[in-house]
Amino acid sequence: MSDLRPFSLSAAEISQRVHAGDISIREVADFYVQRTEAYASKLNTHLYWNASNIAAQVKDQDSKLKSGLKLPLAGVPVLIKDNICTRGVPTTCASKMLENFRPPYDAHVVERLVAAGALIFGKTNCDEFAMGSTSENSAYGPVRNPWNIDYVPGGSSGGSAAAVAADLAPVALGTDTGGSIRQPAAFCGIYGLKPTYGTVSRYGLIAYGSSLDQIGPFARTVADTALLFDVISGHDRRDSTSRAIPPFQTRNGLGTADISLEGKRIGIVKEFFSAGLDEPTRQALSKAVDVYKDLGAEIKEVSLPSLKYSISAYYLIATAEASANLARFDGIRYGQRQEEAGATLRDVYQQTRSHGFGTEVKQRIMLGTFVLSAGYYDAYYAKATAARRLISTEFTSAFANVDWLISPTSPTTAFRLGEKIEDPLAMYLSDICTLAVNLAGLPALSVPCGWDEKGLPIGMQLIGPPLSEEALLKGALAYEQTAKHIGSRIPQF
Amino acid sequence: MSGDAAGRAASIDSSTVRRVAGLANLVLTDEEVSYYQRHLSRILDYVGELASIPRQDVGEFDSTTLAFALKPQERLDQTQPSLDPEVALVNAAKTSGTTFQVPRIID
Repeated sequence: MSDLRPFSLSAAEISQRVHAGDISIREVADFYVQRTEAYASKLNTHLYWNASNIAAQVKDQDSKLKSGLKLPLAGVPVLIKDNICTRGVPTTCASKMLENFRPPYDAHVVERLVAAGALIFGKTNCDEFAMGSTSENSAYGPVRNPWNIDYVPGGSSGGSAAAVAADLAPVALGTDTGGSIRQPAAFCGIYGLKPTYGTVSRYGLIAYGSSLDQIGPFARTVADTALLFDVISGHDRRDSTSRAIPPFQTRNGLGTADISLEGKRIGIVKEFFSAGLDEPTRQALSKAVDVYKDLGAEIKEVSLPSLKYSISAYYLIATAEASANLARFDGIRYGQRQEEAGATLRDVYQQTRSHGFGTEVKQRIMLGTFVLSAGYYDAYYAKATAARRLISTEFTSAFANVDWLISPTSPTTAFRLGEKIEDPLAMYLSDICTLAVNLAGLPALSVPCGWDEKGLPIGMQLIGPPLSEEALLKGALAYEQTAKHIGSRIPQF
Repeated sequence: MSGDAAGRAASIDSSTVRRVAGLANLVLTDEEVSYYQRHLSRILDYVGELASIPRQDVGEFDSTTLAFALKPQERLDQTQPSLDPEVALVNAAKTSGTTFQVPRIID
């Protein structure tokens, strides 16, 4: 009988104990199957999971372990956001459009996880085609926040974040086009890393905004965030934007992390602390900055005036790219098909798309189509790309003077279910702290840094220059070891 | 569409919503046209702030101006194995032999 208890083991510890023969992969799987059976429906975190499929994976990973292979994720359950392809396993993007789609291949990240000994434990709910900030735009119902089930978990990767926060798996993958890993990580009180653009292959990720999308990890500790990132990072020739670099080894660096931050220069982004920031978030961030000060870091105020353009630039560029990327869903090669008697090819396209896409997806497709259309391209899309360049240039200048930047991950804690769903613009405005990072292709990590008076988690965002993931994780570890938030509260759901 | 082409105080009329929907291969109900007219107008009004950026001063963005410049990744132009036809067809709603089936487009 295993001694596994909820919230008791990290992914790193599971792998270590499995290798030591202290617990078996079967025991780990049984424990998480029981938790999934008990809580996944209540939180609506999972779109697919299957106990027999997990049992087959246990057998495969056990054989690899018995052959003497050293597996960094031996027996570790990992949940996968449902816009990442899994061979033969439903991948719906939380859309009616793909309700019966079973990809014929695995995404690069899934191949990497399986090779590292992980158990692919299921597919998680999210906003349809990753478009949203609350995980309410799902054709299969909203995800609930384990800290209070009347609140949203954030989005679009809300199912992954809520499941990890509820310990339905120790780690999960999400995707981040404008904050879709970091914001749900903040709302659910866990870590979420958006890697540098090009460090994790997008092969097998169903595209939303191709110049912005990145896959990244969710975890409840810095060490697990690093472990999962290391496994999924590195070059893949099947993604033409994949950097020709070897996989990261950030977890090795963390083992020797010096908790002193003497000599480190941290920038406080003035624009992110302006109006719109709620008081509990402001206070939590202020305390976190004090922690860094006490650890010896030099704190500087930094101004990035072009951040004011980030919401406009993002929502024009992302939707323009989405309008092209989602043109492939036409009912012919995959996904649902609507075809009335006597329908022409164009009728099939129109009927299928009108029936298959949800309200927000249609809105973003139309916005993107509009800004790329004749007569409007220069006024909108070209201006947005100019703003993107300004934002990117200002980040580069800032990193000449500081090692990383700190901001809130979101100006507020989680919203009530239904609070913003009727007002898309208000929802877009809530993404103010995360969008610029994607426009500039930078890495950023959301770090849990406290709770508001309602008991909802608050997140701090660390933003670094390109390829500075190890430095960001070390910075987060220094905070984690000092502030000691992790494990001090456990969600009741 | 009313308002100047630089995007200030943009509002979008119902015929433009229908035209854009057509370009995107979507058919909207009257209720949807009204919904999208209202929300797209608000969004276009908001993004009108970009009109104040002097484009000639900053130039257009391309991937090489990312903080971490993207260098084009090249690979040898060699044929790689692709999906078997039966695997490629497995998710299609209608097939015929080894092809995807579509409505007749030539009489």
